[in-house]
Amino acid sequence: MTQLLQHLPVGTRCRVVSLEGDSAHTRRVMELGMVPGVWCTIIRKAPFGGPLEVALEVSRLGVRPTNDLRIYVEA
Amino acid sequence: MSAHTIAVVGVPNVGKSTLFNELTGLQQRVGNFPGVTVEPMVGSLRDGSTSLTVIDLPGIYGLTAASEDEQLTIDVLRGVHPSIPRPDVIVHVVSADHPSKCFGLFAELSTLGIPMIVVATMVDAVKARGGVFDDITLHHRLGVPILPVVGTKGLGMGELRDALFSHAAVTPQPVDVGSSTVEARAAWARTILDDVVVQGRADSTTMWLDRIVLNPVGGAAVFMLVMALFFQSIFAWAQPLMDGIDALMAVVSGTAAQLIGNDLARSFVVKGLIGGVGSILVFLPQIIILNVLVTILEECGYLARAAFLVDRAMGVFGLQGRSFIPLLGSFACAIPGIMSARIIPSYRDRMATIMATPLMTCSARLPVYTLLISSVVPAVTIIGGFSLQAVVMAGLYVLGALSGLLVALVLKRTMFRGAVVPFMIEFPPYRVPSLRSIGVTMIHRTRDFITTAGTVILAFSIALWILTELPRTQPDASMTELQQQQQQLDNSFAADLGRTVQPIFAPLGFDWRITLGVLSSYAARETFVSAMGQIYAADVAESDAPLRDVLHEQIPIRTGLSILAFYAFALQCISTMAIMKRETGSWKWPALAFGITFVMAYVASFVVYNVF
Repeated sequence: MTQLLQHLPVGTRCRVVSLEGDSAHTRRVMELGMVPGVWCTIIRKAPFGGPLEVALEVSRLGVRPTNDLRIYVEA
Repeated sequence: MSAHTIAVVGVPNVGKSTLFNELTGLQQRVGNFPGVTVEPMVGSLRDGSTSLTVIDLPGIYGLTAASEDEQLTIDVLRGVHPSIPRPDVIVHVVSADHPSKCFGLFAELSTLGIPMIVVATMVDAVKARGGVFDDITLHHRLGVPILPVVGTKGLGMGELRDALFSHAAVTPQPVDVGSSTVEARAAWARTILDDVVVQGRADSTTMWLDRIVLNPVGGAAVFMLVMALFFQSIFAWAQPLMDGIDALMAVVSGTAAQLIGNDLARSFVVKGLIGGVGSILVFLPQIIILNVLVTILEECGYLARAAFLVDRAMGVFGLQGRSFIPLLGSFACAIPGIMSARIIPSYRDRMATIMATPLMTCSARLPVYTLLISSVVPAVTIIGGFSLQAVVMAGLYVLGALSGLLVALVLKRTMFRGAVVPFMIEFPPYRVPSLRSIGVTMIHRTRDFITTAGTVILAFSIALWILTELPRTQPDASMTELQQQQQQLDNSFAADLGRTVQPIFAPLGFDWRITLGVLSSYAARETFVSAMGQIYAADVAESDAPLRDVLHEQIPIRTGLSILAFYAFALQCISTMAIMKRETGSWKWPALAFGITFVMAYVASFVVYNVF
């Protein structure tokens, strides 16, 4: 089932399906390695709706998606 | 001699600047923060009569820019930059531990038609963890030379030099990835890297540390500890150095005073020049300590994590995690604070953050607070065993921080209105910071401060000398030296100015003498203390009591609190305004900050004066 990255619980391994929103933001996240097709794992979430830490193949990113950056994933 | 220009290009955080330093010996810093290189640094390489120019360009991910820094690099590479020539050779720095994003950039660079050499860093780290980096197969697949180096140890630099001087760079076949999307480039990079670059075991130290540092409980504890250490070092460690500089300047001005016979020339040299230089130098310990601390935190990889931790809290004020670093730095001095705002990629967030920095309680406010609080706030203990004076001091810090954040919030809701900017940051692996890099940063930032802020402070200090020391009065031989000084001040242009301007400050309870002290603070805030010392010199001499007791007699409590309120808000720092102008590109922003803070200061003082 395709859903937004931030809606998944910590520890979920998922595959990036698509990125939508402002092209500058989606491009930057993709340049940091989060391209459709890659597998990622939500390592932790900062409290009170703060950013997520996501592990990609080799790197770790801190990401706070907004309406301008919607990351759809498939668990 | 051929005009050969070489550009060092790469994605942020791959050790590009370290390589540049090692290659050219020219000093420039390396940061763990993406995009830390702002102005391109230029170095040169010499081999007999041949000379090569090497430019270190800001990091890019592709040929589409997301910030001004990136635009600069792209303009240079496309040959459309007005001042920097198009490079003859690209040295593309890639990191073996983050190969896919690095080679995604290679696909873009290959379309430029410029000869390239690929330099791979972190190959040793990948191999140490059991991984593979097959540079020979990669060379066959890409068609350009691949040179593994260890930047921090200088290994492979000779080979790179030789390659550059023997024109070993090769123009690659333009890579056709099908479509011009990041996705297509990433897919291409994966096929190119298949079986050639294989990661070994994960960096277990970084994972283990992150379990503590990014954990809500452990992270908060580490954060508090780092902040405590930060403030402790800025205030406690800098103090002896600042006292030392003051003492040194006293010796210098004493010597100068004895050597110069002419009264006017002596006054100019001692008070105008030496005084001015002293007020620049006294800032240095805090600026150096602050920069060293920020560099250490940045290079070891903590700042990216701290930005992650505070992102939510900053969001309450319309800012983002990265805004935290400039604001934190501004507690020592707004100047390095404003300079570090460059790390915020969003223009709106960066501007709102810069506008908030002058309200953070900088160290120059501290002597003013100390003098006034000890003069007007009763030294009593209140509930809980706290001293009332300490509570007022802490209250002023909180007041400054909150008002700064509120200014940012209001600006983000009005002038810098826009959609909520998503936050994204790459966590670099934890590293032990290099001493060389810290030293280089220290020298860079110090030089930057002296040239930008120092010249303004000196000019202002000379202007202030003209105002306070001219026209000269005839000293009355029967008066003490302090009384002569006071007589001089009473008859100066500054006194006239103070008396003229005083009606504006009358509703705040300032008489002409306090007005004069406040005006003199516009060179630098702590000047207030020495100005009050001069203005009340006669009273101090007569009663033989310390300045604070004299002020206690002369200034009513409500006036004292009103002055405190004024200093908490007002932007009285010409150097901050000069740096703001440089970083924002226009005098409009410092003028606006000046206006906003003046209104806040005036209203706060007025309220305080009329309530108490």
